[in-house]
Amino acid sequence: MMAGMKSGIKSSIIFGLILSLGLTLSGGMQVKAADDKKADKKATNEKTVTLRISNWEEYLDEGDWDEEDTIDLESGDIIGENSMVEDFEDWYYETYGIHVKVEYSTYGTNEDLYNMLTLGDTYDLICPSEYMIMKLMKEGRLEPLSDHFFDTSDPENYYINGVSPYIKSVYDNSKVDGESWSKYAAGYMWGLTGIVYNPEEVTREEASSWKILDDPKYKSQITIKDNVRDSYFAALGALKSDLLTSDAFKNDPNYHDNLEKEMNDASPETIAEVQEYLQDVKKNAFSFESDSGKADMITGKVVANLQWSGDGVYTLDQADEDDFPLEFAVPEEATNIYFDGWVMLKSGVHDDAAKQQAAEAFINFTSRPDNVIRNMNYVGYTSVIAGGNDPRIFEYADWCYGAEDDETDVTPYDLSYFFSGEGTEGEYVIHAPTDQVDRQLFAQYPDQDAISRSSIMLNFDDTQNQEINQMWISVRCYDVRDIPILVWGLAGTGVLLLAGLMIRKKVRQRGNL
Amino acid sequence: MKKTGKMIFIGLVLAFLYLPILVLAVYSFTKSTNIGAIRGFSMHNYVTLFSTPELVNMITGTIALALGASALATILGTVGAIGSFYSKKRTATMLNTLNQIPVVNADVVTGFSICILLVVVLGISKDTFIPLVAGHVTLCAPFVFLSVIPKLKQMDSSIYEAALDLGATPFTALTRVVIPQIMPGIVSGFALSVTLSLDDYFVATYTKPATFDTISTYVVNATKGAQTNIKTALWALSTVIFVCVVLLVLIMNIRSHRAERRGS
Amino acid sequence: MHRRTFSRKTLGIPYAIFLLLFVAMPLLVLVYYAFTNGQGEFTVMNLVGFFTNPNTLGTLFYSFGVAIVTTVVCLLLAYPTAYILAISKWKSKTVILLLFVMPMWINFSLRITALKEILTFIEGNLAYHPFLNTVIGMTYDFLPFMILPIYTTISRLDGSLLEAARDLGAGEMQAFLRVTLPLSVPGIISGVSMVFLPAMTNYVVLDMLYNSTYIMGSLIGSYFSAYNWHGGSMIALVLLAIICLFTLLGGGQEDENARGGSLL
Repeated sequence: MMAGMKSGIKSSIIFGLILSLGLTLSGGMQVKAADDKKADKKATNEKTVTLRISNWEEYLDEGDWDEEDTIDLESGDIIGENSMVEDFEDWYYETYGIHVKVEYSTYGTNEDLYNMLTLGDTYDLICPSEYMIMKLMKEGRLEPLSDHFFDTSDPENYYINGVSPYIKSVYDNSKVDGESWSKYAAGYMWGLTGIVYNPEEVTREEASSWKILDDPKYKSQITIKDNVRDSYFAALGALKSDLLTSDAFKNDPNYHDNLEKEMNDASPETIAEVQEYLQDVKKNAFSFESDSGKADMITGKVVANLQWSGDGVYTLDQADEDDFPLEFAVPEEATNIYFDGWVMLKSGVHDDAAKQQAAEAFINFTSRPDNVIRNMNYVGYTSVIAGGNDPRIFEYADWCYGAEDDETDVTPYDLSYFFSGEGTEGEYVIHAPTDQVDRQLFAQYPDQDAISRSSIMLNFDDTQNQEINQMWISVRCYDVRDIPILVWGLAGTGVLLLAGLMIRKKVRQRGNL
Repeated sequence: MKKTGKMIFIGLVLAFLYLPILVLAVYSFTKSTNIGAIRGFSMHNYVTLFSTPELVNMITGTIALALGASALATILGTVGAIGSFYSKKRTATMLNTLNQIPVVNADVVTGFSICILLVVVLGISKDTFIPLVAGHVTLCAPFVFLSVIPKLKQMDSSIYEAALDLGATPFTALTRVVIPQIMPGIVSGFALSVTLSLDDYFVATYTKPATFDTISTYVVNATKGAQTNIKTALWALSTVIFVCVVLLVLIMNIRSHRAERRGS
Repeated sequence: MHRRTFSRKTLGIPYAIFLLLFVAMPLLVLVYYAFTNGQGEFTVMNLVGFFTNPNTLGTLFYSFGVAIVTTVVCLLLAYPTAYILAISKWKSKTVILLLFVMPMWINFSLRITALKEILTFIEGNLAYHPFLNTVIGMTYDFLPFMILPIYTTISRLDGSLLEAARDLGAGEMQAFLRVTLPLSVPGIISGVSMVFLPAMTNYVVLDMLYNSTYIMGSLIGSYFSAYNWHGGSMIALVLLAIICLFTLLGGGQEDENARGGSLL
């Protein structure tokens, strides 16, 4: 007994030690945090503005580049030493004399973001895609951008002074309930959906149709997106392939409106067809992914993947480092053109002028040409910023993709639609090595032909959303009708055996009594 | 011969458990980004691991959360178990039944329902860490309760009576007599709590503040991503944790050996 | 004075409040959502929907498949291991046991990452054998939780019973089948409950190993993320009911000491 007591006391001491260790540890951390705050306050004697930003994963320069990654433009070197967030905090203090603390977090899909908002996360500035922006606009959850944000006379307003005329017209002309996107949203990145593929395994022709997704030739070698809207879009493209590629459809004067209608078709019959198609795709695909497809493509685990053009550029760049050339294709049927833009949430910035100012400043800071180049270089996506009077962004595109002087196989590639707007053909032309037309340059700045067959995703109404969400769940579920007879047999035998055992036990117990 | 067979079996099961961890440990010291050809020795994974503030914060945060939530859960669970043990049968049954729910419930459901109640219905901000800590305590306390109850049943109740007869107040009798006797149950409840909290993904993902990550939520997100330097830094992390656990076990073992020797 | 103000029963109160707040209330919230529709009206359509939708039923079946196969594989590996260890007279027995416990303290997401790398190296393309990989992953994750309770139960068995059986002329096999095995059933039940339930719901293992089919956990999670809290809550409740049914069938045979007291 004594021994028992002793060991009990001993373990109680150990327990107490662990406990107090835990408490001091957490206590210590708090004290340290408080100290930091105090130090901050002393320096400025001002309130620090806290800005909560949520952005896509891997969508902002995190700095820490190697020396060799320096972008040596003729107008000067650009390199990311610190993260964009840190640089913004410093810049904001230098420019406006106000301390800002950015709390930065990330999400993987628009649906995740919306879910996080529903489940109690609060943000000031977020970066959803167009259909989510439209949904949030419709629900009245966004705070309009201030008039000052659009004031072209302020040199710190990098966004309005630098945004591409093409993008600006999209944001001005797309409307929800009569209000244009640009009232609430400032563009960040844009691009098309397409197929990244390994040209040694897949032909460009095969990769130029959404039908590749359920091609049994590539069983378990293709990834598709783990979000309902992108997969839905791709399935529509494959199902309506004949219609979408027919001359009658393509030559119709209302081609673009018809295309948008077809690619946003959410009638119950279509949803049912898509479900069936995606169930086939699921059996055929390697995985549903939201980010891992890039790595799987680079390591050669898969031969093709449904990809956003920006991630396409990233994938191709990474693979080039291993001398593993990949290509990017945009399906002939149709492609989704997406616009990810910054919007301010009412629940975050409402009635807080300091926050709103900081949020808008953040948009402007990321729109400053050198920062645009850093971000584009780091994440692979294409910024909506053309640079305005600042030539560096075009210079960067030329630096990336322009042919060396001794290159012989060169193709001119016209980017005027993006840099100077419609009707200015020939002003901004890159002379690129011909293979780039199928590769990064094409993924970074798609040609007019690809853009002409692009459609945006519209925001569905609640019923439609519910139906396609349910469809998506059904696609991922195991259908009870797919269970092989053998398994039914096994399960049945198992249940019978168990029941038999239990009855035997009961009978025996009775017998013992 | 027979013993060899047994040892081989044990060895194989151990190999199954440890091979992946050990292989990753080896590769964490190389430049390779995939299991396969080894591309040369390098410590860069460890440098990344300890110099990326994001990673360091996530590790210390997870540990602080595990210790804090487990301490709370241990106190609550122990006190609850004692209370329930001495309560009327009906109260005890009710406590036992409620206690069983988080044990058998899917973690994803526990996490979601706590999130809905605290965050959506009651409007508590996730940034206060209250939902996260509450979630983890809910996850752990029932297991403390379950590991203390059997010790209470095995306890020699006459000592408590004797203490009272000798003039001890019920409170002193409780802390001096009952608690020491059930200490092994409390300690193993605490240890189990730490294990559960460290391992949890589902509760944390619904209740954590957006800017905070536990090891689980971080790893699950990172494996979806394409950043290979983070991926391989996580190999280093798993190696570090592995080494820490081995050290902890060694220390515990040496101590118990010494105690045994002294005892004899 | 103290005798009147302090009673051991009152110790149950804080825990009772805690359980009501963080277990009963969230459960009520789930029940509310499960039996209402989007307009907040009472409905049983969610319940009907569960049993008429081939996908929920299919998922239930698939999860059972994963969980049963995982549990059986775990049992086949864990029972001999625990048995060999428990009856052996090896000196380093506790060290070996600790070796089996240690993986529990390394975060599961890190361990599954390690396993994924190894499996990728062996199989090349993980998508060819999703079910097999899932079972391997689950077994890898939960095996320690099966070994410990069984070990605890067997090592507590009264040796004299076995001796008596031998004295009465039973061979080693017969003694095992007639004495050890029946008496270790409580440990097995504890182990099964620690493995079976998580194997039905821990969808992170599937996600990380590229199995894109849903199990119950992912199904519930996906309803929650598709803003269909009503359907999700109902599935969660039905799952809870099924689990409770199983627990009742297991019928209180569980070894209390084996579960909580298993860690130390």
